[in-house]
Amino acid sequence: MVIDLLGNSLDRKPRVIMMARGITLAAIAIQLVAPTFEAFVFRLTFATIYGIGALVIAGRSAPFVQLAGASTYLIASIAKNVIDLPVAEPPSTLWGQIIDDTRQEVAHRIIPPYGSRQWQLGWASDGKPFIYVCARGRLEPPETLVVMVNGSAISELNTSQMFGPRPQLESVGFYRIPVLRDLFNGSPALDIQVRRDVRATLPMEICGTITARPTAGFESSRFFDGTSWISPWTTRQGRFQIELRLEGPGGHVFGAWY
Amino acid sequence: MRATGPSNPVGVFRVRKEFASVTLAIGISVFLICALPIADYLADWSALADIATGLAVSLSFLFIAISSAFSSLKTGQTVLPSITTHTYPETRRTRNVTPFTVLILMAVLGLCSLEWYLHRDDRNPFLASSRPEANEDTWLTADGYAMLLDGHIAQNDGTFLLPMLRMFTGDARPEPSEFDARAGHLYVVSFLVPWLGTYWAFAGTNLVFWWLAVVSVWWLGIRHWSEKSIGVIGAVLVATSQGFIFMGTAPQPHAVAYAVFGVLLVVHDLLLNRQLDTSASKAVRFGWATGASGLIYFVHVPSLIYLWLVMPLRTHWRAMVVGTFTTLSILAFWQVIGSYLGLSFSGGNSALATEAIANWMVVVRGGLQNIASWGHYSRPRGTLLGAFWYPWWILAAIGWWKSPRIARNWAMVVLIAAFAPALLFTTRFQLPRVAFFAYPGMLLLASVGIDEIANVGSRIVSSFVLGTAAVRRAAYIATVITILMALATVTNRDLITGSLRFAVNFHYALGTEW
Repeated sequence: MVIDLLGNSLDRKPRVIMMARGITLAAIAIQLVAPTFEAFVFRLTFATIYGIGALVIAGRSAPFVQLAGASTYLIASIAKNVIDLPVAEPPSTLWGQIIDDTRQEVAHRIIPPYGSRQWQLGWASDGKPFIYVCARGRLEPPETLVVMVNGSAISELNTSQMFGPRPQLESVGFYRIPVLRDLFNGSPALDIQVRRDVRATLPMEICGTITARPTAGFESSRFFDGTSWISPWTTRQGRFQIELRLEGPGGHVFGAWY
Repeated sequence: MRATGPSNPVGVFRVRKEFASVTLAIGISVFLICALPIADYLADWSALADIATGLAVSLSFLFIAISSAFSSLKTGQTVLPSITTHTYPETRRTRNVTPFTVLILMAVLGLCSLEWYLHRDDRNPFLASSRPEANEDTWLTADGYAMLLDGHIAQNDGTFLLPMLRMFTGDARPEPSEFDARAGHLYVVSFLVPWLGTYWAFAGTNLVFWWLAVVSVWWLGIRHWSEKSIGVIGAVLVATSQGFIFMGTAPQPHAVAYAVFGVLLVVHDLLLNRQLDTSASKAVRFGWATGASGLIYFVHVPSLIYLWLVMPLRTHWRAMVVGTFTTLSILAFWQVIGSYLGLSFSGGNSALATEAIANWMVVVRGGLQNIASWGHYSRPRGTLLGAFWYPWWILAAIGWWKSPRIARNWAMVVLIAAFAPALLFTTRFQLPRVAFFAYPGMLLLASVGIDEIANVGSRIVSSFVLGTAAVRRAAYIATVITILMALATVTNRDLITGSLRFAVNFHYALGTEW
């Protein structure tokens, strides 16, 4: 038994082939029922290029292949007009949270993945831990942010910690803060807080982004606006850009977590 | 199980010419390096060997292409060993498929689906290789260059495709973007959005076209080589290939474009290479298919190079002109319509290609020093190795040596058609993903290499054990499976060990390291 995939079989099953062609034209016609003029023109253009092109080029394939292809095209064309499932609207990958009051605070919890292969390799290779905090502009005390880990202040952000490209002075970018390895002895989680320096007079902006792989759950980022805590996961499907990295010599990154 | 074929007295690609091209390329590369003042990047042997290899390989392909074009101009079709002028060992084979073959192909499609599923979300290598631990773009966040699409994390360039997708679904008005020229991909994706949602519509489209690539390479394998197993081995290599795994669930047109290039090679064989008939209507059909494919992403460039190199120019130039004109007309037609409705067709790859050409002008004007430094800064070796790592090159070299001349010529044209634009683009970006368009030629040559090694293996086994056909067959199959599993282990290293090395190589191209 053999299955003939090719061959110009018009003379053998002309009715099937004519049916396939009719179905293709019907599919094209259905696509032209478009909600806007632009969509009509665009669909007409591509239905012509692909639909009619397929008709012309597929002439050599077997009748049942043509019929199956045309039927699929028709079903998909109907579904496009009937099923109302809009294209997704992705959450913003870069947004900012202004801190303009000393009572305000950004908090983020990270559970270091002690058991992961990346962590163990980095730790065994004498990797150094760093906290990364993303903020807008060039921060220099006193107009800066203060980073605390598990209740202790570890650094004020300054220009020597700036990491990565910043095309303009006011661009956003990471600040890279070294932390002691001792911090991880017996500490199941890092509770990181970022506040405005008490001496600062200008508003500061901490960056936020999407969250997909949080180590401490999707609610691990929070913002205290002076009266209540707000989760960027709830409002934006996001988190603050506060991360932990384990790095080797020459800045080799073993892993990055948030 | 030897891959054999008809012998040809003269040819577009003769072994002598190929060896002459390679020898000349190596000579020029060595001369360039020896004649130049010592630069910092020539200080160590690793960098030196990198430049020499990059220059030699690039010049080899260039000289082979030039010699083929000259032969093509000079030689009449009656003596040309083109695919056009030679019948295949068993042409009916490509038409008739046994249920057993269908079963095997279904299993290979299942393998594709498994690879696709295992590399979804944050395990997509395109996305994963942009994370800081890949040690390339360390200034990005821990998720890399990412977006959230229907709750799935995905490569972020997809963001720029959504306005066009909304336009096709009728949810928004046209918005210009860098990706206006790739609208064909979104037209196709828009059919799956109502069924699957946006993330899975992109991923599902990639999977369907991955399947098509598998079937196309299988078909090309059994068409160009006499041994049936070449097609099946090639299909498995596509299912586990770096390029398709890398792009499998990315909301990008690359996987679709790779597959469409494979389909175009099939269409070319069916329309223009099956007989000597290269009538205008067939050329228009191929040109139409190429133009429609070019609206997905870049496919028209390797396809047109292929069209001009694979057939004898002297006798088929009219078909080539008609095919090219039709292709460009389709592309221009979309630009006119799109521009009328507010799209810009500016920026993106068109602008980068222009920059690459401008950089080439600088390189050429700069003389020998600049040409040699191109071998360092533009990383031609790294670009080709990023697309196909050493084992594939070694297997392909064995396959090239053992293939019949017609198949070897055909595969060489496919390699040139894909590598030429990738190498030309290196003055702006190093893009192994463009070089991966060579997969039909490269993976089928590698299949012949695997077949050859398995034949040797079966002969060795049969000389020690029983020399029965069943034992030889079992040894052959065991060797093939072992090699395929070893290669799949390389392309799945990200899943097995967590190492992103090969994904990074495919994303950014290798540096001077070996």
